[in-house]
Amino acid sequence: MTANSIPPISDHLALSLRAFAESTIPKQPKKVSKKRPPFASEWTLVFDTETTTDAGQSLRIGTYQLRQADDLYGAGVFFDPEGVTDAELQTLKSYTDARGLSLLTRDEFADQIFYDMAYQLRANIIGFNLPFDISRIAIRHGSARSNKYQDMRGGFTFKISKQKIYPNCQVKHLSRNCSFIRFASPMGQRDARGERGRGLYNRPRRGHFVDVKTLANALFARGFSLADLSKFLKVENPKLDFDDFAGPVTDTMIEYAVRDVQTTWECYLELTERLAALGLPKLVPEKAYSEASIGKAYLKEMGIIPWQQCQPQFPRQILANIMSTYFGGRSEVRIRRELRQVMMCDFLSMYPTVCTLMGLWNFVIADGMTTQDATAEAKAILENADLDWLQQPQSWRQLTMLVRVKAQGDIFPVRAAYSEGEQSTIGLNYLTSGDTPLWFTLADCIASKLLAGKAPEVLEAVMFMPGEMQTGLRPVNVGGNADYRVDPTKDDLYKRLIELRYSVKVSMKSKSGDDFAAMDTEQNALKIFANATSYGIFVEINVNRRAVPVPTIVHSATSAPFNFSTDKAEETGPYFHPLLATLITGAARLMLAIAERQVTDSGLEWSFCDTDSIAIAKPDEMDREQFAAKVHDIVSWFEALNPYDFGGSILKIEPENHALETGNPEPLYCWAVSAKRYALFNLDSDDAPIMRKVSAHGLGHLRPPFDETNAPDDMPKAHHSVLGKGTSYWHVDLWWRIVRAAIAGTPNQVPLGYHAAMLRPAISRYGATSPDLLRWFKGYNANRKYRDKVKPFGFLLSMSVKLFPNSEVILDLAACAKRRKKVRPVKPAAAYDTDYAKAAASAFCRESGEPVPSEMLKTYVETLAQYHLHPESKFLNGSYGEKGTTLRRHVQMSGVCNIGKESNDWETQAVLGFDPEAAPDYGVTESDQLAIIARLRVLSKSLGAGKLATALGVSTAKLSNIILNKSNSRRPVSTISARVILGLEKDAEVSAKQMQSESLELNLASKRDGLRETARKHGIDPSNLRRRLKLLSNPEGR
Amino acid sequence: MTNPSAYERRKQLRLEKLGSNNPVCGTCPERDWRCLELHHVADQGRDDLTVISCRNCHRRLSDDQKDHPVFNPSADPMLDRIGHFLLGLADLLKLIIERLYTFAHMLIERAALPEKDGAA
Repeated sequence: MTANSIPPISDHLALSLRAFAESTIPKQPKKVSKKRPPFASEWTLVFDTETTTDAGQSLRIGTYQLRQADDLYGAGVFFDPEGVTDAELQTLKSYTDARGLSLLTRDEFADQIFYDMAYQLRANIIGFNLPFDISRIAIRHGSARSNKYQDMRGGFTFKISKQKIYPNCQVKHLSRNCSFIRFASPMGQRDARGERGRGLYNRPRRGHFVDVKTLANALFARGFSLADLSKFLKVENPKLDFDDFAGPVTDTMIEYAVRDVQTTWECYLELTERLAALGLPKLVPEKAYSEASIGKAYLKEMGIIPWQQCQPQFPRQILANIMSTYFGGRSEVRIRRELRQVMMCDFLSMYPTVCTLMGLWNFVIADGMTTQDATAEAKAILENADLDWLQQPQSWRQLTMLVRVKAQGDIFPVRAAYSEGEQSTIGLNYLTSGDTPLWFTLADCIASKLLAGKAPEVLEAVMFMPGEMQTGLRPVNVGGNADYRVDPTKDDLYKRLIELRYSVKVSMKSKSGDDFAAMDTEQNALKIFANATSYGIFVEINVNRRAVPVPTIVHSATSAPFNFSTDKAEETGPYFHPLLATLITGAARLMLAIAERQVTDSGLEWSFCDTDSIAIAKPDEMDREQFAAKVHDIVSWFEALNPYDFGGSILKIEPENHALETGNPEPLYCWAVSAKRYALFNLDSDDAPIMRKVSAHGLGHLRPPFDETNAPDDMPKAHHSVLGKGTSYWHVDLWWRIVRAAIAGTPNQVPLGYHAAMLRPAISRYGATSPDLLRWFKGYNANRKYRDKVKPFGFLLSMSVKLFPNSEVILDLAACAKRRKKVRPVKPAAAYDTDYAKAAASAFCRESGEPVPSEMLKTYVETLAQYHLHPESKFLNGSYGEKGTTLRRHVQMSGVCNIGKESNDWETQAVLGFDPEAAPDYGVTESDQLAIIARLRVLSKSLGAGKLATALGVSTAKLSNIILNKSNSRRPVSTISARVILGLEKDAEVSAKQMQSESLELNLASKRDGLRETARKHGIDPSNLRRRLKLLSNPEGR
Repeated sequence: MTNPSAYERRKQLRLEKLGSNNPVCGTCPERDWRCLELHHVADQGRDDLTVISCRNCHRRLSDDQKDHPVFNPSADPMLDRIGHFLLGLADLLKLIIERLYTFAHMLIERAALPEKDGAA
């Protein structure tokens, strides 16, 4: 193989590499009883609230059921006296009297039911979307206070009772489907004098909160509304339909609210039964936060001791090296904005498959791991590795190595901010690292050899080997089924799970009705278990905000450990094992690289790839049969790598490649814009697109402007297989229009005003899920009663204002002479309403509280104006107007930024945009910092501090601190773009040359003609010319 | 609806202190939460480990502890603690063995009784 030609360096970028950071403050032992509190008692409180429809979403009525085991102990309705009229109260009284229900005020409910019963009796407190209901019954809220080691910081604390003896309730939002909820410590002394004297300290009672939404998400790995869940679980009393929440309290509304509680209880019962059927006795409903909780519970049930507990003192430098090699899945667009026929292929359970091929289960059940130098072995492997070598499954067992290389035009995953002000993204690009060697997985090095045609220069390599098998491992029955027994000592868990799931799916084909549903649940349980244990838990890092920055020691792969103060604490999850995470994603990228190499070797092309799938594109000149045959050959190549008992290739041809009706092969076409933004479709006899798969990336934050019932009728009805999994009808509709414009030869002009709703303001749903987000409404909330304030977990709608909302204002020249008035930006929001036109009409500025006219709001058309042109900035030929094949950049590494978990708080950023403060950033290494400071000093002298500060986008004070290298300037230095510095240096160089030639010219002229004459010729004062000549002769003396 | 009696609250508080929703004495079959307490195996102040014990058994175990060696300030604290823990454990096992003897004799006596009418 010969080395492919390496393109010239196109970018000088600082690489963002993951570091391993840990606090230098040791955790102080808590003075509490070591005895774990028991699970909840047999008592249960289920409650739900109905609220007003204004921005405050305040409590009107609520309903509850109190149960002792399965027996209904009491049920009733509660109300906020300020939230109901006298007539409504009368309705409530007559309704409750007629049905034997209790009628309580909010205060009575809080004291007599919520605390006297649920809290005192250690009941399970159950609700659907419980944070919202808790916030509605609260009478006051604030930011959760906790000491710096606890993890409720960033959450809310709610005062629910006026009685001081009862504790507040704390809620911390983690994700759309999950929150931590607990009671705060109660006021006063909770330990008796005798207990204190004997050194006995009781834990505060934290309560037992079960959000049915969270539990359902953990069990089925998908989000539900209560209505969907009750239908899915086929409960006896499903949720009723009702939507007149703005109307008066009527019997129908009360009936609806009472039924909601019953539905929630029935769903809870069904879900707890399903949880119990998993055979995980230690996993209680309140602790089942996600499918990962279930995966971890299985590992615990098998008696597996997490790696961190086996090797708590594992060398930190090796951990830092491992973390620096960690990159996520590869997602790229190669043929951009060009219509191509493709065949969509997908790897079978990519992560469990590579886990099996590499034998990583042995690491999971091992009592630690050992390392050894493997430089010679790595060099030999890289020398010999080719497609034939990779086709042997045993070769993959040798990939448990990390390699330190000197990158010189090699193709590696490069994480960098490719575009100014944007988040760092990962692109597989040419990399030259200069004098700084970098660590990569051996799989990435082999991928580089496959794609670049030359092996990277290996400086060092470390092989990792699993230790002895742990003792005390126990078999488990997956899903509680004895047929699905997994013995961790004999079985490779990942292999066993995929084989079991395959066998269930095969059996499902001959079943129908309840049998089919039961088997579907089983295969789903197997899928969740396989996915939850094969990757995510190994790289689980939770970022907690601290009250004040605390000293943290940062272990970096490219420098010695250094101290850094940060308010973000990265805490590793219980099964944290970064080696496995990086080996898995590295091997997955290698699989894609093999596929890419096969594609190019076969004379084919590819449109895009995404983690475990690749869309192979047909060259225009190739006929369809030949194309299909070549793709089948590529698919067949991967048969040899199938590690499972069942046969076939691990690269699958996706169902989208077959016709919807007949199932016969049907030409599939692709229109890809950027990473994760693409559409797959067939063409009918009139060349009109029939959508098969569309991406909702970049659209998910917008509320649907229309649904299937009122969609434009020019698009053929979308097939049900296209919808779901985050794809709405309007997403399909939008992509259909993008594709249609492309087919019509006008890909840049996509008509977006095809529906009246598209001309209405674009709306996003926003939840005030943290104190920071609630602070948005500080201005609006000022001087309002608590009841009318926007409260935590309130649903709101947010909009954007047009670029020039006040463009009709004519320039007033007289006013221009005066100091311009500071214009406060308008930040529109509105109370949640399913009628978006109504919501937009009631929009207000969340800071001033002033109404915002709808004409000022950005419409869907304006918001989506550039969606179809979205750039692929990590590659060349990927900007707005460009199309065709994207080209890999050649990145010259200009430094290293040490970063923490890059995807922290992504959910909020998806709605509110990129927040550079969200992810932990530990700044540049010390040597890089000193080098940048030295360059800035030179620039400051040549350009002047003010000009330099403006160019860098920092204040002069901040620049001064950086240049003087004051304490903790590592972080600000890392925010300064290497690209800007380089640009300024080039400008300074040009300007210095100009000054030099000017100086020479003026000196010659003044010698020849004299100073006065020269000054006269140039029309300047001789004294000024003298000064100018002095300055030019000594530019640094300014 | 009226609140449940203070009985239920006392019960839940007790169960919480005992650390179990289904507590049972470690040395006899007593399950009534009102009779159950926490017994420090190695004696109070020496080690935090406790076991659930009924009042009668607890009284006997605590009395046995009075015969254990007295506090020695110059002793190695770790070894002293382990020693007292093992003594406490032996006391527990002693009670269990007594129960086993009693139960075994009960079974033998029952086996020796003439068969009742209708029995096989």
